[in-house]
Amino acid sequence: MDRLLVVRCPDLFDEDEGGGVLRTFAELIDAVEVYCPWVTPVRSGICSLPARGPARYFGGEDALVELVQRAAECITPAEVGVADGLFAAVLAARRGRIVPAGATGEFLAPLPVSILGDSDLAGLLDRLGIRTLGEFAALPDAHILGRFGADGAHAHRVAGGRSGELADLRQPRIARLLDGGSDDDLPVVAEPGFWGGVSDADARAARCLSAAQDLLGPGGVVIARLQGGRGPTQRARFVTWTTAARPKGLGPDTARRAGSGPSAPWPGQIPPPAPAVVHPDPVRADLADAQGEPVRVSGRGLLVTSPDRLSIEGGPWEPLSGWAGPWPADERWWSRAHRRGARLQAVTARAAHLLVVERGSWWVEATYG
Amino acid sequence: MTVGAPGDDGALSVALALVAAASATGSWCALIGHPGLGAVAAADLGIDLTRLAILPRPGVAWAEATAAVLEGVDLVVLCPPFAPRHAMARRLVARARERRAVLVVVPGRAGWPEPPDLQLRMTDVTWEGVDAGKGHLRHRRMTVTSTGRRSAARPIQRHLWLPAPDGTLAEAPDGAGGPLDHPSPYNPAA
Repeated sequence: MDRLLVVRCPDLFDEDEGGGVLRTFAELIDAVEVYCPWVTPVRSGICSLPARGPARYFGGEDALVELVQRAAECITPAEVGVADGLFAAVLAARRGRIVPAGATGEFLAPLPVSILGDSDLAGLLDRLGIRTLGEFAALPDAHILGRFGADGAHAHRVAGGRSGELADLRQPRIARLLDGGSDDDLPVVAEPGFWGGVSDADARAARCLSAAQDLLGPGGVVIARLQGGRGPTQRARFVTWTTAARPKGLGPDTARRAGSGPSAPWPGQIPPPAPAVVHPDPVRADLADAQGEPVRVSGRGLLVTSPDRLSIEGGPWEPLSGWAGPWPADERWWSRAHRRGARLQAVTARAAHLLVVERGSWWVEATYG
Repeated sequence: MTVGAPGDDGALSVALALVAAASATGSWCALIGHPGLGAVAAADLGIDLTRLAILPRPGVAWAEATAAVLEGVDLVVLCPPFAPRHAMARRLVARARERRAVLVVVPGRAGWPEPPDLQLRMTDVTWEGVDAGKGHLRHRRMTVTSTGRRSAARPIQRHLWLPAPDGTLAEAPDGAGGPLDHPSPYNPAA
């Protein structure tokens, strides 16, 4: 489960008609973003950020909480806390606590079951004499699904600190509102009241993706975002999926314009179409000329000899039916170090690849699969 | 349905074209077991990246994760890391049918033990636009053939550009006549 820092501003829970609350909340997020660029609005008045990286950078979770608290207090009264998973982190913020990693179950145990926000479930548990999250979590898994259904089983995992958040904890529309969009187009019937919500399909997808993420751990479910860049590796990044992920960077339309328009900001960008496969790990390649000698690139990024055949990861040589390039590549695509290199499109009978050369070594960066 | 067979060039692109068709109607889609999606290509095909969940490396839990995702996502593209047992494959297919979702398997080298309702194969795949050092890759021509069971038993063949020069899917100009007809139109109720 992700270690999350939550900022909770009770004065901003209820949106007003003039949008003043929302503006203040947007200011708050800007203030907190100084410490971490990945601030996620959870619902009006509550936002979260991953605590691990910033805590390391700012000298511990205590220090981070203090910095964030001070920044937030300049805008509006705020409570800050840290715990594993969103559900516990929101409760930790309410109490101004830092719940140590792995101690979520203990922290939640004395709290009343009503805090899960499901009155039917709370009533049922009450009749069974179960009043606290600890007592609920102590029920054996085997009986839960049959007795309380899928939602109950998920709540059971949350109560035991084994799952990060309840499916309806977030208010996805808040992200859109903060981005200046309107939520007029949201169907009114899909709004289940206080927590807000989006369409049934989005809610259904959110539930099943939460389940998959619980199964696979953090980073198990990601969403792709486009951004500017020269090569295919730089032009996308993958962020952990959350129900309220705020679109940052370029949307598909702007990115496409930037990529192919006459005023493309990235000279040296490979012309479209883009490769369907971008290898996440470097794949070694050998590129040889007609004499079997390795193909080299001059210091000015020009090919010294013509490529003739390609071998991938020590595999058999395949003759090239065509090739194009080179395009300059100044960035090392799998590390931060800057190096002058070049990219080349190479077509064999089986596939077309985008190759990159650095210090005389060839790699397959992407495949037009 | 399955897309491609071992060594078929373009199988992922065809699967992504199916995602694009579903994405255009606002559906949520998922890509499971493929850690190297070219996100730019996906966006150019028309996929709404905000509604494409990617489970890049589900590891040993891939079948369980796929079953979970089929609960709430309309179209799932699965690249299994290894061939599942018959029973497991049947369970996933049954789950998809029950949830009225579409399960698109790109078997790659792993293979898939169950005969699919619909199979797409890619042949005559050629890239155009490059010569010895001149030009750049412009489009890929391919012939896609769909074969299947029951109502889909009659093979359908289409000559496509995938991608076309702008990254989308188009019918190849001199392909077999008739309007562009996806061999397997996205249809959650099917």
